[in-house]
Amino acid sequence: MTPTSLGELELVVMLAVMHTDEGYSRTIREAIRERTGRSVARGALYMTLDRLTDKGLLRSWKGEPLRERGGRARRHYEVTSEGLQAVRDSQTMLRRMWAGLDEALSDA
Amino acid sequence: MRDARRPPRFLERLLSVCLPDQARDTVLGDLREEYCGHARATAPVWYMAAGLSVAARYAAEGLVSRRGIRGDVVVSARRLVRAPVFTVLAVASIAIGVAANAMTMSLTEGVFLAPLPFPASERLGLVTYDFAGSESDGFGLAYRDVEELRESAAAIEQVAPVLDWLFVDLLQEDEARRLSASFLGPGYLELLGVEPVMGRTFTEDENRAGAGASTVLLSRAFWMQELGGDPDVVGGTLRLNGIPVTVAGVLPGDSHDLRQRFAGTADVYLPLFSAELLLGRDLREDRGSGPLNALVRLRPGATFDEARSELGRISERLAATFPESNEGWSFHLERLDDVFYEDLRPSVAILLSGAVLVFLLVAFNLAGLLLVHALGARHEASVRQVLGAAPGRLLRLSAVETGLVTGCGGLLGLLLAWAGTGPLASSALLDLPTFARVGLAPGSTLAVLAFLAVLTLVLALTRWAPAALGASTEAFRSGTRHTSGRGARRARWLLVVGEVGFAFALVVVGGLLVRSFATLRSTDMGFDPDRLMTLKLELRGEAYEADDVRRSLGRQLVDQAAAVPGVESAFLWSPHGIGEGSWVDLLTREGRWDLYPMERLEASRHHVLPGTMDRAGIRVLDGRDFLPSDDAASPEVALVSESLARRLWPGEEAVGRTLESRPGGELRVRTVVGVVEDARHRTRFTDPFGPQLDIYYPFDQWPQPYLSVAARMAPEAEATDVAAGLRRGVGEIDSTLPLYDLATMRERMRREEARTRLITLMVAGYAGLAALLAALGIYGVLAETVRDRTREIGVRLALGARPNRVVRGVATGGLIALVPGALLGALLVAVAGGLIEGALYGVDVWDPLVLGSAALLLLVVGAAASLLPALWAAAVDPAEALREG
Repeated sequence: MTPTSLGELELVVMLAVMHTDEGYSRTIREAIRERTGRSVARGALYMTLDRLTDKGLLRSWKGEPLRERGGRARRHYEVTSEGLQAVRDSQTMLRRMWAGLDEALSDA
Repeated sequence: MRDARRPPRFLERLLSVCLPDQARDTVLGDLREEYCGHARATAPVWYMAAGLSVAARYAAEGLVSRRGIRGDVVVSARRLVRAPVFTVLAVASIAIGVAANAMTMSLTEGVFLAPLPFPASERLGLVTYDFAGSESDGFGLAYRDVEELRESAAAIEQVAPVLDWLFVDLLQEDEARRLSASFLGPGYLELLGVEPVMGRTFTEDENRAGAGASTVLLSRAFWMQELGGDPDVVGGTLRLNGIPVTVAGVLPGDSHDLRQRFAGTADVYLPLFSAELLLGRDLREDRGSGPLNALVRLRPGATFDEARSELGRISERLAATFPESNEGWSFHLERLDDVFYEDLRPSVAILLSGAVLVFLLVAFNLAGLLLVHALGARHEASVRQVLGAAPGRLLRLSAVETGLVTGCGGLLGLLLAWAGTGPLASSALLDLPTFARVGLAPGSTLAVLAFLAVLTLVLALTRWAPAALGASTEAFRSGTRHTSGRGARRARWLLVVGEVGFAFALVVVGGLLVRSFATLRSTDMGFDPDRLMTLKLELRGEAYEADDVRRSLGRQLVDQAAAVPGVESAFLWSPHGIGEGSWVDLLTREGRWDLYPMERLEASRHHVLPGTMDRAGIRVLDGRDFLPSDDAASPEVALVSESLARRLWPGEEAVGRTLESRPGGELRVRTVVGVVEDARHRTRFTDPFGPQLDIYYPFDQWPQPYLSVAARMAPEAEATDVAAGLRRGVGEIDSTLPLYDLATMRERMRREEARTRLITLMVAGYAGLAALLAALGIYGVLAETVRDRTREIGVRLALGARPNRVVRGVATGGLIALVPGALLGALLVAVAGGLIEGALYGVDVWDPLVLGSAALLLLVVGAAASLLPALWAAAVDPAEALREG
């Protein structure tokens, strides 16, 4: 199987999903903001989650209907084994790219 | 749950419409959950902004993502193939609209919007003379008045006179050939920016007063066609009117070059003052009116109005200083582009309006067709939406499908226009100025395509909106049957009413033009144009100076022509041909010339031999025709047309009265010996029902050097044989006489009416298209109505309703749209009336016959369009219809 390459936002979202336990859009968004200081646009987050789900890297399911949501359920996400592999591939690729650049990066 | 607050219900509903089904619950839930965390005052605004940004993101994703666009095209194409009638109708109507508009607009752009290709062309103008109280204009100037312009007019930077539309005879190996010639004043070619393609132009020395005839420039066409493009032509010698001149160069210009109008229509160009030697005309001494036109360029910054008022002051001064020559004459300055375009404007305005109306009809029709077609699409869209397609995807699908239709139609239309514009523009039918290089113009093509793009978008939105906004789920729930709502039905009826209105207006305008054209054609010419062949000759040179020689040659020519096999009779007409305009004489009743200058009338003069009236088919109403005894030795006599007789002696007998004129300042008094029927020599297409002021003189009493010989052919005679016979006959008399303009009268008339015929044909074509489009519109609506009401009709038939009542019911529904449509059309005709009034002869805008016929045509077309759906209705199988329900 050819490794699935992840875009930057995709990788960030995948990692954020791993950081949250059975996360849904709100907690995932907060996790990203906490760790990167960046705020992801809601629409972009939904699109990315949909795309990653379509690719089979995330799995999603609906929870129980909740009162504070007007009787609507949350959509929870977790990383599939393919997703985990994709994150590992990204990590390996980035490590290889970083290797030998420590000096240059520290100078910068 | 900290707070029971919730977003405003309407905002939530609005968002829910904008979001795709698969995301709706999640997004709305997330937003509601966060809503409570925001301050009460700002929460709704935050909610709106956050929600809409998400919705916009989904819409954009659906619209632009490449994912599935191929699928959309396939789905759309499949749907179009499944509805061949719709597809063919829609594509064809767009193709027709695009082709009609692209062609007409290209024509307009090529003819009106293209700047003249001369340096600083916006400052170029043409100066001619007007005469006080004269209905004619565009009289020429004498040379010294041109000099006045050069010296006195501050607004004018440069002046170049030209002596145009003349002929010189080229003598080659004992054969005389008549060439058209222009005599160009100093600076003329420079003003137009014309450089020779070979050789040089005239030197200052060659083009000064008294220089004589020494050099000639050839037109490229003449050089190519007549001299075989001889590369050694420059420096060679031609004998023009018997005088040897050296070829100085060749001027550019092919048959499409604009410069041809001023610097290319002639075969040869000569320095202005060589006219003195070649034509024996003394140009320098005259004042007042003369043979010249003056091409002028204004100073930078000067306006035409300023120049006009300055020229007015100069005219007044000249009239005061030289009353004999200049009294009553005033300079007339026109922009050069107006000179070019004036005649064509009304024609193109009519054509353009027709084409735009056709496009509007196409748009109406397409909207109607798509509304019908969209019902099927709406059901499909609602299914897709329920299955989770984003609204953006649906809009894209709608746009792809509409775009396929308009794209195919547009492409087909452009192909048609591309193939058709060139031939149309260059066709002799349209009679455009030869310079107008008209092809499919890029600007016009872009304009048409932009309009098509807007149309596509509007139609796509119209189709998408009801499907996307709410109607969807309703349509889905309502089951498998898709019927149109009241709103849609009303919209379609309005479209059909609009369509019928525009169609009615176009049919009326087309009908009026056809009627007007038919009236023109059937107008009694006042002479008999059938089987008449004419030719022209000019007697030039010393041999023909004497009046006696001209008299005998005129008779000889008539006898020779009458002896040609296949010729029944022949007659002489001079100075121009029968059925053509002629020179104008100013005349009054005897003794009133000085007393009552306001009574001076302009009449076209014709010089004829005895017996001509009978042979030409012009009836003598009173008195007699000329007799052989009306010769040079007897008192001068004249025949007058009935209109002229009425103007000169209203309510009185004209025969025996005398009239006077002053040709060349010399008093001539003539006795009227007869009154003849009005003949339309000149005014058939300018003022066909206006008075025909014509005066006829005996050729013997005033012989002219310009002759036209007319031969009446026997019914069985072949025109080509007669033409060859006439040519031979003239050659036997004098082989060096250059003969020109040999044609039958019918050919001349066809050429004359060509432009009117073309416009009539095109507008009639537009009218036909309009009627067809209206029929399609009515058909589309009724077909849909029948589909909507299949169940109801089935029930009625099952309950025993008679099929013919069903037919009547449906058909009446279609015909009802005709009434408001025709009223709207009448309103449009009232608005457009002013535009076409000037193009109509002998028929009123509110011509009852045309209005009645147009109404009848629409009634027939409407009935035909209604019949098919009505018959379908009657053929509904009740059992089937009920089972489906």
